[in-house]
Amino acid sequence: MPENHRANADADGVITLQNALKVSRPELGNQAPVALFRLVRLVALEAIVGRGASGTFYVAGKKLGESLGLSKVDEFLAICDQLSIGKIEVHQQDARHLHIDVRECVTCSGMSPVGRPLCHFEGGLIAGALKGILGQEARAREVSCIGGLGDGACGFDIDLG
Amino acid sequence: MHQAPAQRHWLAGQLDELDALARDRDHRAREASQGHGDEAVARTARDEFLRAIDRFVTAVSQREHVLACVVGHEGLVLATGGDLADAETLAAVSQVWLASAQTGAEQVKLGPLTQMVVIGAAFKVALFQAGGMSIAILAPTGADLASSLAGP
Repeated sequence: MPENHRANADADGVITLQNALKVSRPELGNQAPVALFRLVRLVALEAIVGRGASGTFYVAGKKLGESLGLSKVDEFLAICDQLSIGKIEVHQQDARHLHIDVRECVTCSGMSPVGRPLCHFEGGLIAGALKGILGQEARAREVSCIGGLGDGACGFDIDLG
Repeated sequence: MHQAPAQRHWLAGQLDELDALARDRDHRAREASQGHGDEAVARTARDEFLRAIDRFVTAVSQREHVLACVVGHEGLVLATGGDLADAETLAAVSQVWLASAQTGAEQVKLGPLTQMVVIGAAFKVALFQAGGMSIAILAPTGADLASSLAGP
């Protein structure tokens, strides 16, 4: 590896969020098809890790959400908008419960239903971001799913505290 | 000579009960989805199954030496009992451990995996499978968990 690239690499081979988000593609730009994301997220990873990996995806998303270091819910919504994760609607039910709907979900919107929820990574991401922002434990449970169950939105019940 | 009936292992009995309830839930759900059964009956069977899981984790976590009990499906938490800060990670890791061990068990022809124990320097986790769920029981490494879960 050239010396100037090595100097910018993460220690011990760990890929940090900041490093992963550096994009340099002068001709192709920083956009890629949703199809590519889904092939990796839904097809390739599940082929390797297996059907029982929902919890692993959830925990991975949660750790990522926490690591974003956000301080306001609006910042999280801005990131979701910037990355075209989906159209997010937050419904506050009471002090300890939220419901979040994701429409046009990047992971599954448009798919034929497969009979099970699919967006556990996204649920973890939401829970992790909220945990970081609110400074209290947050757990997400996917209760509806566009591509998984044929619903109108991917919906997550959030328990806080 | 008359012999007293052998005492049923407490945890084995609990796991058998969960297994039976899971089979009933699946059967009722299948019947309802195929139009042969009542949707309300399927819902009742599912609710009874979930209540049984809640009773199970509470009962297990109250046994001597047990710190916590987590029941998961596909690595996601269904119910927790006891004192554990990060049940979500334990549920996810338990699923990975069991899936990995199952693969190895098949290769050396052990038969279907029924239980395994992962022992750390401070704590250990006993893992079981029942009704399509993973069950993780956390205890201090030196605890005699087998005895704690055996008696009535």
